Amino acid sequence: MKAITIISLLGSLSLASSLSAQTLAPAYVFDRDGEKETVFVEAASEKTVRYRRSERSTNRIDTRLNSITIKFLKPKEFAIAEALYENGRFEDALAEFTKTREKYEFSEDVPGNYSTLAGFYEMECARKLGNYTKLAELRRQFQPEPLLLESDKEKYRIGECYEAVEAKSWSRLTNLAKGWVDKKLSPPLRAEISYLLGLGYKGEEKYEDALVEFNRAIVSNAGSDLVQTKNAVMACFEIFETYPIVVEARRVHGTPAEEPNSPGNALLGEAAALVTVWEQVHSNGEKLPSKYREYLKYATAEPEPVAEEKKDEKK
Amino acid sequence: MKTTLRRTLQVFLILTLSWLPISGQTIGELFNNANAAMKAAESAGMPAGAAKWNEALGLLKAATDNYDKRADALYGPEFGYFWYWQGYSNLKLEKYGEATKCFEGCRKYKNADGAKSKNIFYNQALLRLGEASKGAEDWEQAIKYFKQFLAEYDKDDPVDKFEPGPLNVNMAICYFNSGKLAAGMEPFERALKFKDEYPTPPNAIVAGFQAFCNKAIENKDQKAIANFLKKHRADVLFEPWEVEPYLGIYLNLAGAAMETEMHPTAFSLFSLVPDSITATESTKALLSQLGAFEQVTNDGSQILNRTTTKTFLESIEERDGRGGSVEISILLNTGIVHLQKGNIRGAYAAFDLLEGYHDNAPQEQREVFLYHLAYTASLIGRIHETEKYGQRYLDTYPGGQFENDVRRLMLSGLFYDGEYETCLEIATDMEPQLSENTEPHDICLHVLGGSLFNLGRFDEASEPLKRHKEMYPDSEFKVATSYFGAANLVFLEEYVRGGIAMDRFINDYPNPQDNVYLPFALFDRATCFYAQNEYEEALIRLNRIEAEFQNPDNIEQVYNLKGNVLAGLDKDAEAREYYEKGLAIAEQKDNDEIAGESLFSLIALLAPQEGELSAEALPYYDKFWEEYGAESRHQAEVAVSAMPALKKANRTDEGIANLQGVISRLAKLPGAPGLEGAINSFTEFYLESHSEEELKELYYNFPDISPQDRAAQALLRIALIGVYEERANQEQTDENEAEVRKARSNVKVLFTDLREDFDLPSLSNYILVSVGDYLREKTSSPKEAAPYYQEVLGRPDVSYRFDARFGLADVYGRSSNEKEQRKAVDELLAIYANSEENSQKEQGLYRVVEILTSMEAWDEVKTQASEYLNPAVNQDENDANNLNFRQYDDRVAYLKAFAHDQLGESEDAYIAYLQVASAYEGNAIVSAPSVKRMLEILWTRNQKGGGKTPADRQFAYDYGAGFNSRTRNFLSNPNVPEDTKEVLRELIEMVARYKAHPDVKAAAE
Repeated sequence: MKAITIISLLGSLSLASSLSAQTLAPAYVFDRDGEKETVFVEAASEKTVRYRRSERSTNRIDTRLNSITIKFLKPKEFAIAEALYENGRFEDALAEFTKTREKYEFSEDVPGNYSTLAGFYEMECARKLGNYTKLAELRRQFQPEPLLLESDKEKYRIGECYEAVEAKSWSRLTNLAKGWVDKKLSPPLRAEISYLLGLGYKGEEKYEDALVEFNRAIVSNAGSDLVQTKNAVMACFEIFETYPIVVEARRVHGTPAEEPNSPGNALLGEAAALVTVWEQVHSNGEKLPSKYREYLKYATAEPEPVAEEKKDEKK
Repeated sequence: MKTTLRRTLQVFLILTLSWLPISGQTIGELFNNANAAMKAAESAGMPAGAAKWNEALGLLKAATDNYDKRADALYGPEFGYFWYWQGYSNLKLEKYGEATKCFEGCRKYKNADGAKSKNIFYNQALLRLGEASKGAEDWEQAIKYFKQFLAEYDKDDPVDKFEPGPLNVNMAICYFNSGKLAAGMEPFERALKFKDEYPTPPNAIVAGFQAFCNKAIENKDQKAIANFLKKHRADVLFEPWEVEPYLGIYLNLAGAAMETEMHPTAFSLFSLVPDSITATESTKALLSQLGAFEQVTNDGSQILNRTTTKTFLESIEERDGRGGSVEISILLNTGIVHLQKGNIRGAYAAFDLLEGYHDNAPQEQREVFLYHLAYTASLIGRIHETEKYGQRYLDTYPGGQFENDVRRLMLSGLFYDGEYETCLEIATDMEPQLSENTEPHDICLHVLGGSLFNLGRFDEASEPLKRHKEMYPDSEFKVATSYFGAANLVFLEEYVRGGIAMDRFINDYPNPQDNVYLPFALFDRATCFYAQNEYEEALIRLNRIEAEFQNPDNIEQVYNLKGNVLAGLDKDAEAREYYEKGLAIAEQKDNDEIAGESLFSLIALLAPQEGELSAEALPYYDKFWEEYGAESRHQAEVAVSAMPALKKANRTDEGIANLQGVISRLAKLPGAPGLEGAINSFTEFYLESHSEEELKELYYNFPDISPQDRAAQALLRIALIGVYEERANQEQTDENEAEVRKARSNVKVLFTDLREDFDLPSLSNYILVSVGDYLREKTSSPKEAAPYYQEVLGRPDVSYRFDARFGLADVYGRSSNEKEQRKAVDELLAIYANSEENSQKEQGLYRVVEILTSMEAWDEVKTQASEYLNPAVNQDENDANNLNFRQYDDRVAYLKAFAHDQLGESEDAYIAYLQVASAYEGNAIVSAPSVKRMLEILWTRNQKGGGKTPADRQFAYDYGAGFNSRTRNFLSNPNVPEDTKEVLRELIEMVARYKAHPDVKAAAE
């Protein structure tokens, strides 16, 4: 690989972070000829990266980013945090991601750096923990440009909606979320937007629209984000608990005043089905609170047939 | 393998330099050729390298076949090489039994301490034996070999070096497959823990995970997989650009879990599959990072390979392009599971996402989810979505397998959501396209009739409702259609036929559980009775609703009607109570129309009352105008009926102003009910404080009525004509000839103005008929109406044609000129013969009987009256839609008896009068003269009695006395006309006379 050492530039480099003898980010640097070099990045700016060829080397090479491509190797700290995150230990993961972000902060201007990615996952941990104050705080200091995936950048922008959630500014939340619904989003983002739109509708007391959005959140990303799915399920039950037509249908259930075909009664059946769906399909055995499990008594006898079971028709 | 192969071959080459040549090929040649073939096979990979592995196998087998027996002597343990690589070739070719034999052959060449010749593969053969046993699915044996290898291998010997990641995974796989999940987890977790250090490549991890899941799914051990994923999800969750080769494995595992109803497991497995958007973005990102780098390198256990990654990207993009995204399968499964579990909204959401994001899915898949989308939308009441996606299905899959279902969903969904206009549009287009006697046609016809009914287009609703009833007697909509059919007659104000049809409906479907329309049917039946002044019968039905149904949807209407019935029975206090109950419930339900009706009823009940009660109407009046007035269809009635109370409260001017406003508003609504009544009421009260000339001035320039509001303008003029006619009549009574002339002159001028100002061709049929009807029925110049009717009949527009024909015939019928009367009879008989409307037929025939009576054409009266009472076209007395004239039957029956009487057919007349008296006793207008003539005929006939038959005079007395007793109250009833009361009084005198006659034995009082 050709050395791209520009000694003369050293003096004029404006590096983003101070150098640290202990903190190096291992990376592959590929030049335009396809040659690979394993390097240890110790500083970077938006345009230039400074690295050593070995951890103990005292020679530093400054290279313009537009003359190479760079792939940071996954730091151990990040891998540990990532494993904690994927295994659902969000508190621990958040702490590890914070450490990773801080440790590799010097590389934060380079696309694909692990400090930025750790910062992104810090926000994800905060979101999954429902700590929207922390999320807002992390968002304020976050620079999304070095993220490699457009989906991740979109997720960062969607984060703005949580400020409306925190402020209980439902119409603002609805407007913000609606701005995303016509975009082609990945399933996790669809789920998130649907959940947020559902919260907006719920706040505006548009309960049936909210229920549709929460269900969209449940099915959009089924299995991938159990926290999101559970939040949506719980939000549905909050609606069932307060929506007047459901409350009334519960009150008269089993009495002569019960109206079997009323919309409220239909929603009671939906609530019962949602308990079943959560416990038998999505939750891996986690039960809902007993007050929500009580809806099981409103279950309708017959499940809906799927197409294969339906046959028409000529009399 | 490559490193091991290269290193061991170097050692062996040195050794073989001293070997002897053998037949065909020397062992050195066999070695070299086999070595070359294996190198080529290794670099070609599988399955492309199979031929080279077979070539190597042949060479190595030739060596063992020819030299094995002498190998110990010739070469020593190092000959194990040929067995080892022969086994290895078999392993590559998946010939596990053969491989096992070869590795066992290798193990025969044991190493001796200090010997020069050495079988360097002696320990490695154990590892391969384990792999061969694993390949042969001899799990226990494989585990033994692996364990033996780990116990015996030489850590310091480079040849014994092995890849611990794959070995641990292989051991784990053997344990898993032999059903020992826990035992297998130990080596598997070790391989995962040290995946970067060993390393353990992704393909090995996936293979281990696959074996574990397969066995756990087979055992339906959901918990084992859940626990594993809780701990190791990160280990089996690969970067999107890594997972591509394993997508099939993950999806198959998820599919297997789904089939065994291990839904959480299935969704956990689905969650390991990246969506296509994320996969594309990640893969592109990696490619951009690798730049032009073409070699293979790694980041921890991740293998970075530009060529492979590019192929993956192409594969993802190709899959997305042809609609084969993995999300389709996941979402489809999700939707179906939610549907099966009853969470319809979740299923709807999944199918909606499929249609929104994956409408390029394979046609057979999309057809299923598009149908399910419309289906679930209808189940959760999202009617517009049902229509939208249903229509999309019909457009995309004409003749598709769910076409009939979709049509049914669209129509029934819209119909039960009250979207009658849309339903009507769809059903009208759809009906001709559907085959009769099919379920879709059944639904379509039901919706067509029901929509017309619910839109208040009762005339048009009759035909499809009747057709549905005939064509689909066992339809699932038969209750609804029967109700609509019967109620349609009630709304057409055909109360006799409607009442019969409603009785039949109530009898046919008496169970409220099966008949949601029952409270409505009872209400409609009560409406019929109320319209026919049969208040007690109406009350029975209304009381049933109150007693048998808890809060039926029409309860506020029931209370209002009950108020009306009670008012009819002079129970004003109770009536008020019910109107107030109706008002309270209507307000609670935000049912403004019924609330307005309740208020009107209260005002109409209280305003005309004597004393203080009248003033109690005023709070209701004020409330009406404050809260409902402008939108209520009762505004004219309220404005009119409140006037007495307003007058007493010195609020006449306000009332008049209100009437004026109502007239202005209604003038802008073509055909608005109550306009004429409002004008008449306004006229009456205005004249109390204004002159007729002032009224004329006002009516010629009525505020807020534009010249375009022709009907209102014309009605105002006609009202003026009425005022001057009234004036003329009054002055005539007072014998004030000058004033009579003046008034008549005004009438004449007004008629001239009317004709001049309202150029007939410029008026619509409705206005022409309205003006004509007014002139015909309410003025002393009915002939003035003729030009208005003639104008309608001369137009190609057929609207109001019957009304015009009828009106014109009636004008002729009122003439004293026999020629004109005959013309009227002919015209009306033509209407009777040709009209498709039963009400028109009935009205026409009745009027014929009336005109013939005035012409004293008694034979014809008998004929046409008989036709009316028993129409020739009537075929089935049980069919409410057949002719069964009841509206004027009392009067026609009387006229028939009268005709017999006039013709001197006293016997027939007697029988006919007796029938009238018996059937219509409650209607004194016909019963009283009938009884009177009957008694006279009997008295004159004077036949003696015999057996059980009483003498004529005795019977005349008995019948007359009974009739007088039963109708005693009629004399004090203000609704009974004075001339009828006169007949009743004559009857009393007659009976008294008879009583005193010696032929009569008076009954005890």
